[in-house]
Order: sequence, then C-alpha cells, then structure tokens
Amino acid sequence: MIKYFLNCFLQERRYVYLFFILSGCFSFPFPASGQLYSGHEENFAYKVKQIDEFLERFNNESTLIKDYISDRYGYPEVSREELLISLFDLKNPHLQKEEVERFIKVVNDSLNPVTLNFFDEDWYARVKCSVVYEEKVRDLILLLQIQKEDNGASKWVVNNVYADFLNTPEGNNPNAFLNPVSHATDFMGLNRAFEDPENLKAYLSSAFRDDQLSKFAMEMQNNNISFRQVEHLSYHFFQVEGWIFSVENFRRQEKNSGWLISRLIQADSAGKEEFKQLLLKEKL
Amino acid sequence: MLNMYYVHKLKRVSLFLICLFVFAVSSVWAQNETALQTAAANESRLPPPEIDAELYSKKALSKTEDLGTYLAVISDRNNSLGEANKAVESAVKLFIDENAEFEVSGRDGRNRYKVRSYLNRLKLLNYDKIEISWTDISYVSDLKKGIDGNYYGVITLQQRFKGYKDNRVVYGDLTEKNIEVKVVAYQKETDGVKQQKWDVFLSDVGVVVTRFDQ
Repeated sequence: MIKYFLNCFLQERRYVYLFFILSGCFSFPFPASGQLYSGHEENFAYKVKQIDEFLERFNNESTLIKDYISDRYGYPEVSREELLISLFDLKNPHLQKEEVERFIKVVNDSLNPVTLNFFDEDWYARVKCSVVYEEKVRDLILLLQIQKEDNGASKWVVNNVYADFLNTPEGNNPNAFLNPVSHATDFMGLNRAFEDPENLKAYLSSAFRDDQLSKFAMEMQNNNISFRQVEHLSYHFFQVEGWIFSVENFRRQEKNSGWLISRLIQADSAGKEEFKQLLLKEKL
Repeated sequence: MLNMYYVHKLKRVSLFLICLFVFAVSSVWAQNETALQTAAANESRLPPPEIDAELYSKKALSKTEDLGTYLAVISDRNNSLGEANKAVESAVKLFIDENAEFEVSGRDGRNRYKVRSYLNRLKLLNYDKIEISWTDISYVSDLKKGIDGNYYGVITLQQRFKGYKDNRVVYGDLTEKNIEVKVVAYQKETDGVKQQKWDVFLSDVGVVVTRFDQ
C-alpha cells in the first residue's frame, strides 16, 4: 500500500495528498474567516516545526503528529514509512522516486533500522549569515556541529567558516618575492614584503593553506566583524551509510512544510568528504 | 623551693592545658573544615534534579500563556500606563534575564530587541484593544543539557493577534513563535534538608509572521 502511494506521489503530484488522506489528513476547503485558523492549525500540526521534530519522525519516536492523527482521526498508528515519506519536500522535482525508495528501504530495514541521534558527530548546520566587515555588508558561511561533553552536556560549535574576505589574496605581481640572495642583506627585502599584503602568498611557502577559521577567530577577537542576521539555514546529514541528505525549511501554508529533505544523494566516504567541502562554497 | 617547684609544675600544667586547648580547638576547626568539605562534596554529589517531562512541558506552556496575557495588557491602550508598566515588569520576570531577545520579522529583514525594549515598544502600538490567544497545538522539544548545567528546550506555537480600533478589527495575524526555554536548578532548604528544585524560564523568542489582510 505504501509503495503504491509512494509511486503515486512521485509520479503524480496531485496524488501526494492521498498519503495524507490515508493518514487522515483531509484537505480543507479554503477557509471562511471563521475557519481561517482551523486550517492553519492542522497545517501547523503536520508541519515539521523543528529539526528536533524531524529527528523524532525520522526515528519513529513518540512525536506530535502521531498523537494528533490518533486523536483527531482515530488512526491507531502511523507507520515509519509514512513518517519518512512525510519528511521529504514533496514538491521537489529533483527527488528521484527510485532513490527515495532505496533510501527508505535502507533506513527502515527490519533487521538494521537506521536512526539519527541529535548528538551524532556527522551532521552539520550550515548557516549563511550577513556580517559587517570593514564597514561593508558581507556574506559569511558557518558550519556548526554539536559537541558533546563527558557529562552529557552539549553545545553548538563552529567547525569551519568560509568568506571571500577571509581569503588570502593570490596576488599578481611577478616581482613580488624574496630573491635567493636576500640573506646577503640580512633579509632587508622583508620590509617590502610587509608593505605588500596584496601579494602575501608570494612570500609564503607553497605548502601554505588558508585557515579561514583561525582568521575568523582573529577578526572576531579584534572586533572587526559584527553580526547582522542569519540569511539561510540548512542541515546536512552524513550518518546514513551510502547516503547524504540535506534538510531545509519550507515556509508555506501547507501540511508538507517546515524542515524537509530537499536533497538526497548516494555517496560513499569520498563523496561525503567532497560534499562537506562544497558546504563551504557560496552556493551549494 | 617548694614554691618554685609548684610554680614549675604550674607552668608545666599550664603549658599542658594550653596545648590541650590548642589541640582541642584545632581538632574542632579541622572537623568543621572536613564537615564543610564533606558537605560541599555531598552537594556536588546530590543527584541532578528530576525534571518531569510532562510537568516541564506544562510549566513552559503556562509561562508562554502568561507572556501572551501580559503582551495583551501592555498593548491595550485602554489600560493605564501604570498597568502597562506593571505588566512589563511581570513579563520580564518570565525570562531568564534581560539579555533575552525577541526577533521580529519585517519588510526590512529581521530585527532583534532585548526583552524590555521589545515590551516597551508594544506600548506604542496604536490599537484601542488587543486580543492575543494561542492555538491549541504546540510543539515542545525534549530538554538538552547545556555546558552550564542548565537544561534547554524549545516551544513552537502559534499566536493569534487581533488589533481593534473603534470596535473593528484593523489588523490580525497568525504568528509562529519559537521560544527557547531554560530549566534552571536551585536549592531549597526545608527543615535543614536541602532539596534540588527547578524552574522554567523563557529565553530568546524567534518569530515568523504570517499576516492576514483584514
């Protein structure tokens, strides 16, 4: 039955809501003002409101939507498969039916079901925010993850950052270098190097790699960066063997809304590492 | 000579008594120190307060409802400034401290206001009457322990707001709010027995406004 509806919803979008009818989610007519809020209330119940709620549904734990459907429609139980389907952005044309099926099959395997834990190490929040640096509004991307302490406490920590303004410039002056006899004058040429930040890389070892996180820390320490606001937030999960999926917030007045899977990719370990690097790019 | 003997003996006895006294005092002092250290150690070994999930949820929602009540009083121009100010003070006490922030989504992006500043801005709203109510459904997350030893959770719920002028609704919206809550433990001593208690406080409030034209 579930496979039927899965096929339906991926092929014929209008059948998407059959899943919801099965779950007791009747599509309300456009409400008159007196009923305005009741439709919104139901949408709110179905909406995946927090990433915490996403994890609850993913793991088939006790969660709001199961209680709501049970109380309102008398359905005894919503299956894990139904919950997993509800976690996808059903309007996404890029989600492939076969991939979704395979993913659900892996996650919902009867012998080795996969669950996610908030305190897992291999998932990240990608926060694109706007900051002010040198009196200009700039974009800054932060990758955060949960860090758990021995006593069970936890906190979000910045794992990595990316911003154009934190890049060491490549430089384009072919004359900017310390010539091979610089030692003869006790390296007097360093004076020119220090006055030439645009060509800094020319004076550094070829093994040098930009460490944006350290630069970010230094700029923060010197009060050179001020926060404006979060522009976009997404979560990226790497814990499921052979899969990566991304979760974003879909703000719409529908039942299929809130934090939903927007991207699903099959990937091995190398692919996952490559994707993690992509997370730091301006545009995913 | 006999007197010298007795003086000498008296000196020895006095010295003995002084030593005994010092010994006694230092023993008591050491015992007190040990008692204090033991008490301190015992305090740190007191089990963390049991936080009943259902009770936490009820307390958190109750404080959120109280906040709605105070917001309505503050925004209602029919109330006196004194009543509004009293409501501001009561509302501030619901929060963990005055550094908690309200985020408001507007046309020019998101703005953040410290609690007191946000509440005082509400007094400037131009309505004769305000109605604030909450939808029945709310999501309350599990609590997570922070590195400060306190527990943190989030409530997501919808608030209905209606502003009246001349007995007519001139503005109405349905606002989804994400309210951070902080569960803080404290000690209460009753009849010499220390008990770990806990209370729920509101913290940062994130807002996404859905507006309906009237």
